[in-house]
Amino acid sequence: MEGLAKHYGRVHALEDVTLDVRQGEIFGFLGPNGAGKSTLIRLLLGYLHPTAGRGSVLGLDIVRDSVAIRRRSGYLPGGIALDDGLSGLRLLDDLAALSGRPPVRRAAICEKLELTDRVLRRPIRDYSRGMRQKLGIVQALQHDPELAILDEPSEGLDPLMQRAFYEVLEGVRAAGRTVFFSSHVLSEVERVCDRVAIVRAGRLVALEDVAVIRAQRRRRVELRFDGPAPDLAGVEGAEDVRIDGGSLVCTLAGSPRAFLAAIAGSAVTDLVIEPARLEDAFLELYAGEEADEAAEATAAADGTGARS
Amino acid sequence: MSGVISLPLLRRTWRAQRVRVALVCAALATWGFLMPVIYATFGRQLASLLDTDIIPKPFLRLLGADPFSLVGAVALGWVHPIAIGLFVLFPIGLGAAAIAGERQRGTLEVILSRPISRRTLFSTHLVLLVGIAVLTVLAALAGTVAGSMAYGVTSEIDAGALMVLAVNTVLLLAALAAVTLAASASFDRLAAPVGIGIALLLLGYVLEILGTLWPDAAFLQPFSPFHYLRPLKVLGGNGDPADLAVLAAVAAIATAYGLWRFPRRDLAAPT
Repeated sequence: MEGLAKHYGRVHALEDVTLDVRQGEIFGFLGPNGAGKSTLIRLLLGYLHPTAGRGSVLGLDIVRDSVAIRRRSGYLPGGIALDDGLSGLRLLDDLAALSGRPPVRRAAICEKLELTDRVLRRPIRDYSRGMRQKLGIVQALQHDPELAILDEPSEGLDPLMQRAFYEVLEGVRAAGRTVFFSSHVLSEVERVCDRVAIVRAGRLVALEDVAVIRAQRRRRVELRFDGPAPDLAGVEGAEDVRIDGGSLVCTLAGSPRAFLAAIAGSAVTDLVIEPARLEDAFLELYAGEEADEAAEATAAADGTGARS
Repeated sequence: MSGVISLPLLRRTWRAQRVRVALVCAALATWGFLMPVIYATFGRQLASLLDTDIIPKPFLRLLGADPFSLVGAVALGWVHPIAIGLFVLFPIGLGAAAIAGERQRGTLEVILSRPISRRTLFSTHLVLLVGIAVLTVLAALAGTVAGSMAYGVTSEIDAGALMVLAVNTVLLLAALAAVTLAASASFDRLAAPVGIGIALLLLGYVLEILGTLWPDAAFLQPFSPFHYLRPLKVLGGNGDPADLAVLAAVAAIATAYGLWRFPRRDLAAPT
């Protein structure tokens, strides 16, 4: 998609989003509630019409070829609502018929998610929130779509079922299918996605491999030593160095190689480098954006027009 | 898959409605059966009341020129509020709920994630509503014929005229269904299309009755859809083809609007 935007009057729900999703990857679309994740998905599937920009899914134009896109994709809406009067099985059969494709993956997914025949024969009105979500996952994937678009898919699933769902996703990826996955749960994006786009207030603020984002983030380092403190001046990535007796605390960005070389000559008794978590990278990105916005607002208020 | 109508969607919606349709058809068949029965049992005694001037003239106008013939009894029963209420249950009730109701519940999301265009969805619902209208009208007609046969009065009513009445009624119901469905496709909440449907029904009915009882208000009658369903004239062989044309035109315009409007709407995430 290129420059995709959706405005509702003065409200810019999505602004100038440009990104591509590669075939066969699990792509995470990350952002807090109201950031524009669902808006983008709805644009891709033809529920909304773009205000500006253009996009294609599976090589098909999102405006002109919406029906053809939906023929080749599966969709799990956020907070899915299902027809309470039907049984789970009836609903899945109906939706498979509407897809025009046989539910070739239904049995395998149901088995993973512990949706037995007995459960599927019960009316949906008797289902718990988690069971409804599982049924939503099955309806999105049962016909083996080339592209699965999943909006907050693990919502309502207990930890065991979340793990089972991640295994389902692995199976989808192994079959060469593409998954576009929206979430505000950072840990699951980190766990299952190859690449991630981070959206904030309708704007894309990052688009990277999960591993790259992790590598870019600052990790907290704690070091204990005997004798003189290691000299970290000029060490690439090491900042905020604080020494207190036999203890050193700093932050470290990027590769730890230079840092490890710098402490090699010291009598290190203990070393803790926190794992790089996407959550921290996410929070850093948001904090950075907020700082930029605050600086812009201050500059505007000062009338200087200067930008930080 | 996304042709003019979607057969899987048609089957799904029909399955959800078929018991209700059967109940309404049974009720209309019973109602239709009662009219010849009432005529055969009480018609001649009631007709003698006409000579006594005990029935006010405006009410006679409301009932029609010949209320105590079989044709008059059938015509009266056909536009009785009970019959109208049963006839419009699906065109207005289901018509309003078909799209806006699913949208309000959130269940439209998974339907539209399938390879079905919004025009196909609209057309499928309209075809089903018209199909149900045909079934309900045929049920009422079957009841009327059965009642006439049971009481040996079939010779007093023309089968061809009954068929014209059926076509006339189906066209009225199709027009109501198309208007309500177009409203349903234009709103995210059920209340608006239900309101439009009920307003159309009540206002139309009141205008027609008012114009019949009060000659000074007769100019309002052409604004009522019920003005174009005149069973007494049709059964008397004096039906006006213009009535059918008006109803068909209303149905066509509402359908065209729905087919134009629905695909152009943004469907934001349900709240």
